[in-house]
Amino acid sequence: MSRGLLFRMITVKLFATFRDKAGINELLVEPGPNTVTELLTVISHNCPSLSDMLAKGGFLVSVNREFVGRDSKVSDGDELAILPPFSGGSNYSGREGV
Amino acid sequence: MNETTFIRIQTATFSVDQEIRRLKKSSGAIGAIVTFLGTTRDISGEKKVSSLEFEHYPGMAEKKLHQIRSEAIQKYGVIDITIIHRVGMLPVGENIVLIAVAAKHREEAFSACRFCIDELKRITPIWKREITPEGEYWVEEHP
Repeated sequence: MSRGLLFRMITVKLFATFRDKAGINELLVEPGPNTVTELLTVISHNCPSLSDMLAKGGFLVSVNREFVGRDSKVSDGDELAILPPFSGGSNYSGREGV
Repeated sequence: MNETTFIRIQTATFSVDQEIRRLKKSSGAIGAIVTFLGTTRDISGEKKVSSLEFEHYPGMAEKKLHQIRSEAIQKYGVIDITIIHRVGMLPVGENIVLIAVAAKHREEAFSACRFCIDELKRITPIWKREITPEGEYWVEEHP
């Protein structure tokens, strides 16, 4: 893999329950998915241990450290994070795209 | 003294007295300081808890705390705010989070302090794992 290609990969960061379940804290996805939803499908495919949790929902997503909705665009080199409910959260519903 | 001094995520403990001394230096117009101190407790629902582990999303958690601080200063017209959150393994009885709000008068200081801790819990990517005699698990719902 060339350096140039590596730099354009999409980084996916995992925390708390997602990291424990996957056994890794980060994965790299090749450019291709255009939206958050498409990228989540790819993650589910590449990381089958997460597919149930991803299908169930109940998590937020950030791109480049800002909350985004599921329809948001994803570009090469972006950093996406899957954010399970925060420790202080009492109501996680209706918070998409905070 | 820059903004970084007032927003910190750290493993080390902090001294409330020292933070208040630092905050007081912001302005001679300060007439009220309201603090919120969150500490680790030994019970969660019915379960006994021996320690807690906090994890954050480096970069994003700090960004959200800066955002909360700026918004509170603007919204309530307070003078300055310190927000410190600890991460890592914390035994029962340890300090977790400090919000200290300096203002001219108490009313806006109380309001801003409440706003900061509520927003911190709502939008800051920090997770908590409870370690109990029955096992360890991430807390996903908390009132």
